[in-house]
Amino acid sequence: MEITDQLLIQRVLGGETDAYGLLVRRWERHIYGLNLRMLGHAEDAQDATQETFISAYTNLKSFRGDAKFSSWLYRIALNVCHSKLRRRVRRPDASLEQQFEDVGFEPASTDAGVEEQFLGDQVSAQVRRALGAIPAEMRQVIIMKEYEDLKFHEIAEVLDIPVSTVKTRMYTGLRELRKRLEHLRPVV
Amino acid sequence: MTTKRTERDACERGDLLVTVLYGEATKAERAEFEAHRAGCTVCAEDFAAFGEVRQSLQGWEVERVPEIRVEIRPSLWERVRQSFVMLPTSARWVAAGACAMLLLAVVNTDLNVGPNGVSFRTGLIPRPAESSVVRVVPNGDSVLPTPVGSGMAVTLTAEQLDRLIAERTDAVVQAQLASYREELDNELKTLQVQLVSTKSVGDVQKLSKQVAAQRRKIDELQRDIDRTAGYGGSDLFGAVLSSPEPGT
Ligand SMILES: [Zn+2]
Repeated sequence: MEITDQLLIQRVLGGETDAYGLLVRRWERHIYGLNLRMLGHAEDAQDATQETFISAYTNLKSFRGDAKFSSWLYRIALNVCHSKLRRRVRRPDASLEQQFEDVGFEPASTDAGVEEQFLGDQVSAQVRRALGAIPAEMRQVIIMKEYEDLKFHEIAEVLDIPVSTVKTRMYTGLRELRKRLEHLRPVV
Repeated sequence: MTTKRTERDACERGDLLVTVLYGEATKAERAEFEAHRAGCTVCAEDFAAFGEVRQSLQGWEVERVPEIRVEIRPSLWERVRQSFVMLPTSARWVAAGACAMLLLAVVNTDLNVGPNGVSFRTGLIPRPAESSVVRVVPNGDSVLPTPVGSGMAVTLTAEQLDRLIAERTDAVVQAQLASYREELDNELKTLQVQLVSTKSVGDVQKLSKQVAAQRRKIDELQRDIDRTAGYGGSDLFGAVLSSPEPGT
């Protein structure tokens, strides 16, 4: 049977620093995925993931077992993302949307000389653009729902907001995406 | 032909729609939504379109997770405790002395946390004589310039301080383990002398056993000494001595 997060946390707090490595391995894919979709940029997402786990380690004592460890991690990750996004906004040269688009592509996709543009890449690029274009508060809800498969009440727990607010953001966010993906769909 | 959509188009039952869309609705809620959708074009359209949106969203996959490096720096006390736990019971009494010394070293040090890091006065590191440079590590590979001419105060970052303390602990533990080893060696010599001068067969057997046991004890200790060598600079203590930033 797999060791629970709670047990690993107790071990870490008891001085077994190595046990933290197991927690990182267990959750890094999820946290990286969340960060990547929030920030739209692989390198930023990697940084944010590292920051998330370091911050979680530093604050592990303050983690109360009444919430899931993953919820707590998601919350830290989102805080890291929001502060990174705020820093981007402070850059005067471009709008947030523009920056998300700029950084949202892998280099190969922006290279006009590349012949092999798969349909999948194009859908992916459109989704990145569309997600990057909607407000972060809607984006985070959609990401947690669509990619992390969290229940609405779990998202509410992560964000510390009412479930009804989560659903409203989800609905509004999906409508925003619908608008943008409809416009962007001339892919054949 | 698509109609231009505006915020006004949103239906106030949107929360019910997403509850159903993501399969979190109760039977009653589903029935309620079906009844509503039959008379609400906005919800009917949205519900169908959201299915496509969701499909598109799934097109963005995370192909590869890059290496996530999490460097953990245990707190000073965790480090001391860790190094202590790693020692065999027989050697712990030795290390206890190192911990006491470490505590004294920290307490006796005048610490100041400022914007440039942590500064402290003497106590932990050897005072520089005439030189304007403080040698931190005996082998001389880490050297910190002093910010002031007096040579009494050294400004260190928290990391550097951690590293110093770790190295100092290391040195003390190592020194004490070495002296313990010496003690055991001397006991062994005494036993060997007795063995040579003894005549009775029974005593020879008994002493031979004692000598063998003593050798095992020494081997074990030596393994611990080897294993704990370099605590201060080892990955257990993780901190990296960074070069001082200002003016370099
Ligand atoms: Zn409706």
